[in-house]
Amino acid sequence: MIPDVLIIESAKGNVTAFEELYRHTSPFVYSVIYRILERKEDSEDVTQETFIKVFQYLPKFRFQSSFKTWIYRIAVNCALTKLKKRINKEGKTSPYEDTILHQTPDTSDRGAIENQELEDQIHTMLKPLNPEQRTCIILREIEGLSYQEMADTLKMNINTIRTRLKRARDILIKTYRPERRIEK
Amino acid sequence: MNCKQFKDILYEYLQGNLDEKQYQLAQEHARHCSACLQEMDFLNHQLLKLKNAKVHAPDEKVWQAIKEAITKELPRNIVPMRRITHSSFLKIASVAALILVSASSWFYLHQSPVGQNNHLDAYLEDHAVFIAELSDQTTDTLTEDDQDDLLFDGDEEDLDFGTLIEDYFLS
Repeated sequence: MIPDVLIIESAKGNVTAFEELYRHTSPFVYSVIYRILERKEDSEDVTQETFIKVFQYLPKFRFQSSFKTWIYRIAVNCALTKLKKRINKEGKTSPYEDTILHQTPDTSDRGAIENQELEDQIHTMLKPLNPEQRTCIILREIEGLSYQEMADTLKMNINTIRTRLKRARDILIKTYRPERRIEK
Repeated sequence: MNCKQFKDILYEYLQGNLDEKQYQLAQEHARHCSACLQEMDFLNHQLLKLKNAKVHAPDEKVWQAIKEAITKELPRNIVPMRRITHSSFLKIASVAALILVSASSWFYLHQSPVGQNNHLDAYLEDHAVFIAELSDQTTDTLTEDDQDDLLFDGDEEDLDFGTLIEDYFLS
């Protein structure tokens, strides 16, 4: 839970309060951005852009919505804009790499190896999704947002959110599930 | 429940969002359909991976860059706050000015000699009598005392400026 006083002080231009707000929120903001962009350098740039915007627009935040969904919204918009620019610039069908680049983990650190394996699996799992479906899956399954919070974040109707999520899950199943026979 | 119906509610089934009746129907179908059971396990496994995804934290250099940017742009950034403060100050000043004007008007009307009702009533009564006298009487019909009252005999004590209100301000 983010204390209101941090938001109010940050809105007044208090840099110390804003740093604390950043420490509270940057892990989940950066995680969402990183999952959407999958490139560390781009994710850092977009995180920077997101927090500068947050600082600029905080005086206009009126506590009418949750601060968390407000900040998610800015982060998602910045990340999707960056992704569109990347697609236009690189002219690729998929804005994602075939493999994700990692720093080589210490082979004696079992946890680090498992983490990297999991990251690879998540990368593979999300790769066939388009950016909008991918964003929905990230917010719902990784960040654990409710349908209403997602609707507030993405400024979409709940039914549209449900439809996108269902299509995304269908793609995940169709792409990776073992062959099956459909019973009538 | 057939496979297609099961597939449609599979996610809500895994999330525990179904009502009792639907839940039992789905459970019954999964018990008898190995393909759907396999698909359910697969989806559950994938969703579990996503839930266990690592939280990434940005490098410290990201905060340093943000801090530098906002510190440089601080005067511009706090403009909206200044505007809000300025606007609030104007509102408060306007209300205070309105109260001051209202209080002054009230004081003038109720406390000043001209504004007091008894003075005004007395003035109006005297004026009405004066007008009535002018219309009903001519100087010919006035008594000698009345005529003396209307004529200036050079005594400043009896100096008449016309109406009572003129008397008040000019004497």
